[in-house]
Amino acid sequence: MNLALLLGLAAVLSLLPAGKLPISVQRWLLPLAVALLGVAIWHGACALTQTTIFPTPLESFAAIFELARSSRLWNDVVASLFRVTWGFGLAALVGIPLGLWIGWRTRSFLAFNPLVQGFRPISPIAWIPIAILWFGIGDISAIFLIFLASIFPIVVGTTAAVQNIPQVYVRSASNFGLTGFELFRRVVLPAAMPQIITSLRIALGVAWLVIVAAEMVGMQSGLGYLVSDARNMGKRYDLVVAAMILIGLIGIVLDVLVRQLQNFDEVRWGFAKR
Amino acid sequence: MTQHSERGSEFAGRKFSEFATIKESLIARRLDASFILAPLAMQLVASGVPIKIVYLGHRDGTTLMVAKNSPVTDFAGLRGKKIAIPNRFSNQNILMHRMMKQWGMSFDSIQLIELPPPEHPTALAAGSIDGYIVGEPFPAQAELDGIGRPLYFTKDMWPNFISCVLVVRQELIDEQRELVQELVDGIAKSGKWLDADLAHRMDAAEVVGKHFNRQNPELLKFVLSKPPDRVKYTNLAPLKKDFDEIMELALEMGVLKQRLEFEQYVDTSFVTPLETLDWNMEQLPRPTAEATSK
Amino acid sequence: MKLKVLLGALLWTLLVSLAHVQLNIGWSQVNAIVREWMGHKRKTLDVGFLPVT
Repeated sequence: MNLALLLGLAAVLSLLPAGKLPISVQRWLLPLAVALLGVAIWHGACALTQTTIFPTPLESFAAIFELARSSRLWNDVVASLFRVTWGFGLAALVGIPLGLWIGWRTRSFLAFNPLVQGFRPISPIAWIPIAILWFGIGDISAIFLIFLASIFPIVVGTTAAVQNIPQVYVRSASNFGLTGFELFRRVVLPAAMPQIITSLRIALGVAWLVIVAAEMVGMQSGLGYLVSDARNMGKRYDLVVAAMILIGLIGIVLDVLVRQLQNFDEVRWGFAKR
Repeated sequence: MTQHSERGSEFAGRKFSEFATIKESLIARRLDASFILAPLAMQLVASGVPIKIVYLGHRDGTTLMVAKNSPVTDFAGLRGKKIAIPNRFSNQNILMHRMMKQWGMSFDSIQLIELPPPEHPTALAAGSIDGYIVGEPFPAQAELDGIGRPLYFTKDMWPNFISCVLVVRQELIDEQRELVQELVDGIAKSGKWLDADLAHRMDAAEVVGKHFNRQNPELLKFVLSKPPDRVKYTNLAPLKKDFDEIMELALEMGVLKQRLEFEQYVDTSFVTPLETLDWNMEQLPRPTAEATSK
Repeated sequence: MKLKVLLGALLWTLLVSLAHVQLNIGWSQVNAIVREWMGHKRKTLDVGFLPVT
C-alpha cells in the first residue's frame, strides 16, 4: 500500500509543474506520469482487496522478465508481427485501389458499398471456423483473418477520402485540362492521402487487436497464443497480464511508426498543426 | 495426457486450447488423428465425419472437487449446487448424470454449467461455483493451492472411467494402416512403461511439463503419484460394454440424438496384447529444445 | 519519398518473414511445406491433444 501511495504521489507531483516545462519534456513526462498513476491505482487496489488471484504490478513485471528470459518471447512477438505484416500489407494492397475505385465511380459505389457495409460488422473471430476449413490451422489462416479485419477500415476510409475531395479541386483541375489518369494521379490521390493514411492507422490498430484473439484459437505461437497458453498453465495470471502489457506496448510502437507517414510533405498539409 | 513422440515414422503432437478447433481441423482434414472427448467423437460420427475411435487415452484421471471448507461429504450433498463441467459432450457430464441416477436424484437437481477446464479452479476460489468435475491437472492444482479438496475420484464413482479417446480419420486407416498401428502401439508401450514404475512417471512428468505442456512438473508429479491410481495408462483397448453404457446414458440425457452401433464408431483392429509390446528405451530420442520449441 | 516508404515496407516484410521462419517454423520445415503444397503426402502425422486429462 505504501508503494502505491508513493508512486501516486510521485506521479501527481511531477504533473504539477508540467505546464511550465518545454513541450519536448512534456511529450514523455505527461504520459509517464499518467502511467505511473495508473500503476499506483492498480497496486493500491490489489493491496486493498487483498486479492490472491489478481497479479500486482510487481508480479506482472517480474513475469515480463520471466518471458524475456525464456527464448519463446521473441518467437511469439515475431510470429504475431509476421502475420500482421502480411495480413495488413495485403489488405492495403487490395483495399486502397478498391476504395479508390468505389469512391471515384458512382456506379461502383452504388453496387459495392452495401456489400462492404454488410460484411464489415462481421467480426473476424466469427470467420475462424471458415478460415480453418479453407486454410487449416496455421499462419495462412491467421493472415487471412488479419486481412479481413484490416481491409474494411481501409476500403471504407479510402472511399470516404475520395468522396470528400472538395469539388473545387476537381473542377479547377479539369479547367486546366487534366483528365482521366493524370487527374487521378495528380489531384485525387494526393487529396485523398491524408484520410487514407488515417484509415491505415485505424486498420493497423484493428489488425493488432484481432491477431491476439485469432491466435487464441488453434495457433501454436504468437502473443495471443501466449495469453491462451498462460491461461492453460493454471493460475498464471501474472503471465496473462504480462502478455497484455507487451501487446499494448507493441501496439503503441506500431502506431508511432504509422504516424510517421503523416510527416511527409505531400501529406502534411492534410493534418492540422499540433 | 502424456505424449510420447516417436521416430521411425514421425509423429508430432499438436497442442490445442479447446476442442472446437480440433473438431474443425478433423472435419477439414487438416488433422488426421487426435485425442478428443469420447462423447464428442460419437457426436462427430453421428454427424457424418469419417473418423473412428481406435484407442483410449487413459483411464480415470478425472476428479470431482469441492471447496476446501465445503460441508459436503457425499454426492447427495451436491443437491441444488452449481457444478462446472468442461463440455456437454464430455464424459464428466455423463458421469454426473450417472451418479444422479445411482443416488436417486433427478437430472435437474444439480445445476451443471460448462466452463473451460483452466477456469475451474479460479471459479471455485471465487465462489462462483460450488464444485467442479474435470480432468487433471486442474483438480490437483486446486488441491495443491489449498482452495479445494477431492470429493470423489473417478475410481470411486465409475471405475476405469473413460474420458478422452484417440480418433483417426478413416482415410488414414484405409491408406496408412501401419502408421496408425505404430501410433497405437506407441501409446500402448508408453502407457505400459508409465504404469510399470513410479520413477517412470516422475521422469515423464519432467519431460512433459517442461517441453510439451508448459505445466509445472511438480503439479504433474503430484497428479501421477498421489494416489498412484488417480490416472492409469494401461488397459486402453476400447470395449463394447463401456461404450454402449456411455451411448445409452448420452441418449437418455439427450446429449446424443442418434443411436450408433459400437462398430460404427470404433475400430478395434489396432489393439495388440500388451505382453508383446515394450519400448527399447535406448532407441527413443530425448526431446531436445529444438524439437519441442514449436 | 513514396519510394523510400515502399522500400522500407518491403525490407521490413522480408526481415520479419525471415525471422519468423528462423524462429518458429525452422528451415527444415520449409522443405516439407513446399512439398505438401505441390501435392506430396505429409511425412509427419500430427496428433492433436489438449493439455488436460
